[in-house]
Amino acid sequence: MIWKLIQKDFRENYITSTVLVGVITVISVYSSLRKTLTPSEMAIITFVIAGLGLVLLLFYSIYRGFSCIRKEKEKNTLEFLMSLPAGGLEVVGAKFLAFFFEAFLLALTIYVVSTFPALRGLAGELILPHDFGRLMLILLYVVFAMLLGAFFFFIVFQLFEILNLSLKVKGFLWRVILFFAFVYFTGRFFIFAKSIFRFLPVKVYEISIFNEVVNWGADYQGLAAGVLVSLTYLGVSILLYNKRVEV
Amino acid sequence: MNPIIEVGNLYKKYGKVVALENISLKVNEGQIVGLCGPNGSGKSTFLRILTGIVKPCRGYINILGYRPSKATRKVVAYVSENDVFYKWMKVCELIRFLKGFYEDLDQEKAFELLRNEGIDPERKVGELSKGNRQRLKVIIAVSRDPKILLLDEPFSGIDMVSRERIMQMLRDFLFEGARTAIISTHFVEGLEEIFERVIFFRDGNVVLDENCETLRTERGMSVKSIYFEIFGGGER
Repeated sequence: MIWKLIQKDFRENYITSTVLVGVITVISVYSSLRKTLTPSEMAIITFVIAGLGLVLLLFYSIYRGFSCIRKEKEKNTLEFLMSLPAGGLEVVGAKFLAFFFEAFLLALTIYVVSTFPALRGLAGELILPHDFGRLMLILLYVVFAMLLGAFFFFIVFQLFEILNLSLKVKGFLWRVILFFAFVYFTGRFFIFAKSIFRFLPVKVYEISIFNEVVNWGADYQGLAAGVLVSLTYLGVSILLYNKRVEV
Repeated sequence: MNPIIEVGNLYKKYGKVVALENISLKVNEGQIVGLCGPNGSGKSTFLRILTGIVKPCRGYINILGYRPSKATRKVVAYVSENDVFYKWMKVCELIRFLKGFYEDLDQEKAFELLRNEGIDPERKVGELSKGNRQRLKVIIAVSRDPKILLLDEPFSGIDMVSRERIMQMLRDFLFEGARTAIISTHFVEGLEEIFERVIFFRDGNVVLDENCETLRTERGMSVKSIYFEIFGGGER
């Protein structure tokens, strides 16, 4: 049952994802074919492409979170969805899982296509295998962190829309007030969640690449807080969908 | 006979507008009930509450011993008055999608009915005419084996040919077995023969709840003439 809903949500949105991937790929291929000068320039281009793609992914996750339930309501399909023998766990859960797969594939593609300039450097022996490996490792960290951020944003803004539907907020001004109140509350909740996980480490790793040392921070407290906030918001979304959302 | 649907003191308000005011009624198994009344009288809200897609402010609903939920939606077929299907889905995809939710959906019957009605299963829902989309909703409902059928304005905004074909499908389905159905409609004359009981709604209240046979024999009136008597306009 949930698989049908995941398939449906995935199919409904794959065109936007494909366009996004297409744009990043074109930029990456174009940049790779350009005559590059130094290895560090190649690395910079790699990061610019990955950064651009991942920022787009973050914006996309906010858009998807905002629109997925509202779009159903506007198109009357929420009535259809709610009349199916499926509860909030399936409907909200399927929307998240569809986005999960989509965002994962997007992030993976961004990772792969953003390596083109560095791969060209490796092939042309401008970048050493050692530096290339380090570059890929840093890139993997960035992609992973952004992917987690995308999941987080999706869940947070999906809850915002479900909250809107539940409270039947009418009028642009009230929506804006609710939005800021919601963002403020989410921030406070995140800080509180982070304080719970004080026992977890915040580590700084040193990675040497292109004869330079790069400091790389891994905030396990923030990661755990993000997971806690996401799971709580997902649970509240399911509960609200079951108890309060109506057509 | 056991009531299959039981509602008590059902009250629903949208903002300041009262949609339903303390509705209490029972529907027995095998009964075909017509819900009549002007626009905004509360018919659709009542059906939506029974489906569970609208939550009442207060009151209780009992469908086969359960509150409207996932469990009841498995045995209730609800046909909305709105275009609720995904327009990008092909008709055949929609049927396969729904099969994942309703075990009682007979895909072969659905495809046969689609053929009979001249609806191409390979076309997208959004490409179908309004009449065909309406027929599609009814086809899906009658291709199932639900315990309760809830139809909300199945004839709204469609031509006479589509109306007649939908009516025929419904007649065949309802008389095929002892089905329980609640049909909300403005179009009373075509369905009068299949209604066992009619409930008239006005401003969220039940103004008349009567057996059709009693109306005909004791009051000597058709449902249509009662409709005009209650809501004005005289017999047309």
